[in-house]
Amino acid sequence: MKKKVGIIACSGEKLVGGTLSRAAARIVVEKLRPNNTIILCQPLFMAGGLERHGGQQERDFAKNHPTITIEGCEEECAKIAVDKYSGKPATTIYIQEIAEMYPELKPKSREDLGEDGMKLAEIIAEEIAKKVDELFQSK
Amino acid sequence: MDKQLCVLPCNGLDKSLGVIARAVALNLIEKKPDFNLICPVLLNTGDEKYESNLRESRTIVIDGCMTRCATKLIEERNQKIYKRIFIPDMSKKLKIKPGTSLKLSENAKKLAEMIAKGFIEELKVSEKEDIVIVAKTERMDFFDITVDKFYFQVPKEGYFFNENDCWIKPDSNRALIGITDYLQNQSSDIMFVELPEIGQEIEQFDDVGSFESVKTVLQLISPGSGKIVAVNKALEEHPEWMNQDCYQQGWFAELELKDFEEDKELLMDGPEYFEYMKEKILKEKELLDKEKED
Repeated sequence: MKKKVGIIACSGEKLVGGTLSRAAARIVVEKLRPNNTIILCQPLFMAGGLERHGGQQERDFAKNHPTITIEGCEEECAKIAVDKYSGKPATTIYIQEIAEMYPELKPKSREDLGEDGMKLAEIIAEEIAKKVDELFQSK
Repeated sequence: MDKQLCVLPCNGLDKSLGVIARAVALNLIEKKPDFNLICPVLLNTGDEKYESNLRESRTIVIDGCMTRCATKLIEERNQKIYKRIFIPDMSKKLKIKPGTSLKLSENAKKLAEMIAKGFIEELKVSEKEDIVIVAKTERMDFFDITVDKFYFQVPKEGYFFNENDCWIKPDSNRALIGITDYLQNQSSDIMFVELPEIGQEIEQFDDVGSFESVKTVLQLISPGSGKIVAVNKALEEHPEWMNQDCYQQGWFAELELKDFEEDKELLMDGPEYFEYMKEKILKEKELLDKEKED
């Protein structure tokens, strides 16, 4: 059975970067690499899952599988959480760095990315998919 | 109101309910810009501004699913929850199904708006504190298996199982029945239950009731025969107990057994069911992986 790559978006609330991270993660897991990736829920990762399951399943997955964190801002919340509970993530994607390469694509708001924002999310998702492929090739 | 209000949503991403929790929070902030929005992930990194906001304000938590991530963040800090919004309860109350998409659907958008609007109305008339129900359950030993990030448990003893992934726990001439961890995992967040009538006579493998989740409607197929003598009425208020604690608090009905020795011939014990379930999960995973490859 193939091992999967965990995708964990910062899922931040305050900035549009958090919304982009969520949208890009969803595109990778649902459309681009559905067979090789699994979405890890950042809040669940922090909370540790259900008590009856020992509260560990998301964290254990990241311990035993390569995990890509997607950061919506410079706080690096996803990376910090993975570092804290499961060890070093395989790689980290910074939304801001990619967004700066496409200044013409301006997301509408954190509630609604709009057409430009969704285009940007697709581009970010492509970058994540490339990292997923690299991780599979390096295995 | 003399104290500032903070809004802390769970912001979940692997279920539609978390996506709706986030949308409710954004709706609340849009309608009440004086509320403080707390980013749960940034809070977890130890952000001092948020910590002090939480200490000095009253907190509204919004939980998408029964894992209660937002509630846990507050409990960890030994702080009090002023109000709690639980999306499955609200969906049931407002009769709007949340759907399964991780993208905010039109229905989900409508649900989020209605929850936020209703909540603000409610705030105006009531300041009663919510009570978070915590139930105590006995300790049990389990067989377990993790597939990808999904975790499945089967009690080692005391329970018997049918191939429909339902359990029966006999105790003298009575028995509790319910669904297994596998079935609750398959169904995802359970939102409605339809319990059987007390007094109803049932045969083994009869359909004794149903439960509806964000994904599907499923039947509970009785592993035993007899008469229904009790039902877990609390599930009507807390269907999520079938997910949270399917082997104890999430029991479905109680039977007065007809002939359990005969029923048992067609059932599996804990170790047998665990092997059966494991094989089923691994086969499904292989099929799913193959389907995605094609």
